[in-house]
Amino acid sequence: MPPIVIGIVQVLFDGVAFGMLLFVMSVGLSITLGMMRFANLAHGSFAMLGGYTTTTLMRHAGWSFLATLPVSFVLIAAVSVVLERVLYRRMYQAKELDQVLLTVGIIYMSIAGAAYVWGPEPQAISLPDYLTVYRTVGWFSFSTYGALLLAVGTVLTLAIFFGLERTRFGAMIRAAVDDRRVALGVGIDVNRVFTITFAVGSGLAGLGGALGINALGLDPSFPIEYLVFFLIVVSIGGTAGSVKGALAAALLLGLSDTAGKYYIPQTGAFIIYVVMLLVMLWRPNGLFGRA
Amino acid sequence: MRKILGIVAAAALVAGTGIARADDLPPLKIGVIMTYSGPFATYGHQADLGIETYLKAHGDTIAGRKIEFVRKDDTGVAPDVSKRVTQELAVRDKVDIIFGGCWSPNAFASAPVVTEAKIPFFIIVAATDGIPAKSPYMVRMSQPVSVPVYTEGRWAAETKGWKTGYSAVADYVLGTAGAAAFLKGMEDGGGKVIGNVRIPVSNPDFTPFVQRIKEAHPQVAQLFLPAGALAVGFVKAYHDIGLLKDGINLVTGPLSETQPTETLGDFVDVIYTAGNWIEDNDSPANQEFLKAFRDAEGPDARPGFVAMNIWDALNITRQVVEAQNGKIDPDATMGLLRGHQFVSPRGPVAFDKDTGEIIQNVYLQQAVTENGKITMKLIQTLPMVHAQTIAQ
Amino acid sequence: MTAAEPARDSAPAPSAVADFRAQARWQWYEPLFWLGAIAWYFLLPTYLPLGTQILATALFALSLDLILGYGGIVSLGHTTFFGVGAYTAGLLARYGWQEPISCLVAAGLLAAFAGWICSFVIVRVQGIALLLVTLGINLVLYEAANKAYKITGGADGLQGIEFSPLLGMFHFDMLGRTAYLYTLIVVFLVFLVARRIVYSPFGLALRGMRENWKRMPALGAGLRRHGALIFVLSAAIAGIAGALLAESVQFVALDSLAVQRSVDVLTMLIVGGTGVLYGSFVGAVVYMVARDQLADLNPAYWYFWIGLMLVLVVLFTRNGVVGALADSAAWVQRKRGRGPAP
Repeated sequence: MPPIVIGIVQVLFDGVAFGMLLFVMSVGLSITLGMMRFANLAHGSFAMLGGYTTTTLMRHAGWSFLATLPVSFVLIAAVSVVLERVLYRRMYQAKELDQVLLTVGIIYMSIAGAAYVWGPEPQAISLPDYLTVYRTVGWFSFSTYGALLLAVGTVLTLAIFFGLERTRFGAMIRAAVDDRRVALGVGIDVNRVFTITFAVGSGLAGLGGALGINALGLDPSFPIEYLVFFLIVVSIGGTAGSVKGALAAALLLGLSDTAGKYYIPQTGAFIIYVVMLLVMLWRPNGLFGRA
Repeated sequence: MRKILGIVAAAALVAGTGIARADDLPPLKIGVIMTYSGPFATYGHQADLGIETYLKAHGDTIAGRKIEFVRKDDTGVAPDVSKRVTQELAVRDKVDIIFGGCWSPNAFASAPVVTEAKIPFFIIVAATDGIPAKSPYMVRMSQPVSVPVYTEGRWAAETKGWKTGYSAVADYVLGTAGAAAFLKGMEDGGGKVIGNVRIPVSNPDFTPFVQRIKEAHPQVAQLFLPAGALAVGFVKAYHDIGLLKDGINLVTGPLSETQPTETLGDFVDVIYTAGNWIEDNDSPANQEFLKAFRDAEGPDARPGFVAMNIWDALNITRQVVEAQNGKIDPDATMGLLRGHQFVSPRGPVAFDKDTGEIIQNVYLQQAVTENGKITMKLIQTLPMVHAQTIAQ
Repeated sequence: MTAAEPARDSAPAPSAVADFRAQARWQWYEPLFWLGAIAWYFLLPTYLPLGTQILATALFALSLDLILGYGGIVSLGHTTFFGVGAYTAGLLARYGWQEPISCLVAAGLLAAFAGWICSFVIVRVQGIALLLVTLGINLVLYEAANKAYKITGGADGLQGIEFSPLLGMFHFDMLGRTAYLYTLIVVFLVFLVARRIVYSPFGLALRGMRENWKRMPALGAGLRRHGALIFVLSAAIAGIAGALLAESVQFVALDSLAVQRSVDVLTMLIVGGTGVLYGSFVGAVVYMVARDQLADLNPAYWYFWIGLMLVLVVLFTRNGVVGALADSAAWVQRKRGRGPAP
């Protein structure tokens, strides 16, 4: 195979794997923003907490990496429900700016809290050997970790789409996102639907944070470092809770970031910012947003 | 307000004990400006460990004066904050000495203040060449970037015979300096640099950069990133993508504020690094430091370079204060620092008489796995290297 | 006894215009506030560098309030213009023009120009897209300044800048006395201008725009012009704030363009209260004093307490600290049975 083809396949593989990871982490934010118009900037705090759950279980309880992932999901989902009941619920009718301030406050508290509990240094995990090797199939070699990201991302994406399109609960979510008042009118308990969606979305963020430790790193400033990425996925995808849009945006972001670094590394972080600006100016409501 | 409370508290203390102790002398106030919050809070944490270790080992008085630390958070790369807290330390807290300069811009911003206030200032972390020359009251405890990086490049080309190199440096001005020094080192050693990438400091994914290096296939790659999550992430990608198997060696600066092995997991044995300190140096000064650190922080604790720099700065402070019988005259202090040599866990250190730049050994090390435990093994020592000789 | 009362008493059902005029009059607390700023100079001589930074930051927050509180334009990248101002002053000084006041003017003009260019884009988007576009411009400019390290000094900052003594007489001293008084005077003058704008017919039109912005997907050409104009004015003030900080610190580095600063200033403004002029000042004082004191108490974990403060402000106030003060004042008046019925 000519090197240029190998390079393209490599970029596609890495870019899509990275994009899938971003999608898993931010899809919850997209749906909850669409449904409740609630700007939860602290979404990254959930992802960070998921990462710390995994490192703690691995280091202090000797769990294997893969076994910790479901625990991160469940634990973060549970934590997020408590936060939703205690704090977020009162803020749904509040001004956007107050929502921003509240969630920035939570980000700051989670950063200091994580530094206090786990220390300020970046966390390391020793992935099992089968996740740190490169496999070669024919002329193409890929990392098993990238393959794991790709596999988990694909399964979760399919599950999310199936759940939304084919289940009764999914229909309720879509109804609530489309028009909250009408949904209430036809007897859907929107609050309950929302709580569950919020929990699943946050759990997915936690799972993404755990899954991504190897690619994204983990330290207390995680919620701030990746805030820009979440915002980009949500807004490029469309702020009306479009899951398709979030997926497209995450893949676009993953691919343009990877391709930019691979082919024109001089440009540094410019690529994703410029892509974001262009998309926003071209379609201010996002790729799949409604006018 | 706090001052009044302090006086009340002091009065109560004196009244309570009824004895005027050694504190007829005013306390020796040391300002510590470090990054205590945000992504690089490890620096502040390590500085605190260094202070704690020193206090446990040497007690809290120097020449009869009680040491008092005033800690300030510079919040990261923030010269305005750094300058303000330096002013506050000078004006409000009236400190005798400052340990600071966690970042080059912060150190640059502090320089005019300490010049005007005449306060001796130890640069603890910042690495841009030439900082201490900005103020007659500065000396450097850290290492100027050109020294280890140049040494690595030259050693790789000359000693190892790796004639093709590749630079992967952080995309900011210090990284640019790092790439330039490596290039000079390679060329002086008879090799050449066949390519370079600049890595954004806000970078989540290193795979594409490492892929590029893999395809360029140099004999040695240079990594220069801020110690911490970034450097660790890069080495992970380097390992995962299997550059070692392709025969691409890696030379790096410090990977972590703590020991590299603690945050790197179990695959550091491909890495060469040049630094100003090796942990398994048998010298009494180093053994004393390691023992003190373990005594203070637990039997398995391993210090990082920030903790050691603080320990060194405190030891040197003690010597110059004792030499002045407990006083700190700024100009006399600088006279005792610049142009003089001290004993340190890293070996001898001296400060240039005119520029305050540090002169110290450079140790080339390799990370090796021995009995399942990873340590840095010494390959070669270059005695008393001065940044100025490299610049020429 | 407030100055607003007679207007209310004499006109039981005040028209919007009369009410507006009443607001435009100086309130009793306003001179008090500025006297407080002068008192800081005499009472807290060792806190002058902090005071200077608070004043410059408050001016920056005020510039954000003009577009956010009055124009309804939310920006997550306003430090773009702060940074342009800071670098303008810094680069002028670096290359030989060290007179501080003219540097300030140049910084304001250049930031206004940058604002004018951005305004073409800004008035066409809103909501989250607006947040992202402002943030994106900020990020791109930050990267550009980082790349152009030969001009900007990159992450090391601009080396060797020094401003000449103010009016040829007052040296920027280490205690920060000159810097404080200079900053205070400039901030006061710019505040007067901003106050004038807010209470002008143009200011009234802006508030209309803020309301319209919420209802209509796109603005008419007239409102767009208003939006662009206030954005340019706001950018100019942000630029002056940036130059003030550069002159008092005598150093400029990339952090003057960092997104963290945009987030901080937005946070301060919301803490203080939006659309009430003094919200920016109160927010800057509360936030920065709290940060300074908390960081002194515990340099490592002060973020937690700042975060807690933000959460409490959101839960227990209607429009930041100023909103809370206004509410409690109204409550006291009702208790006394003198105030107008709610």
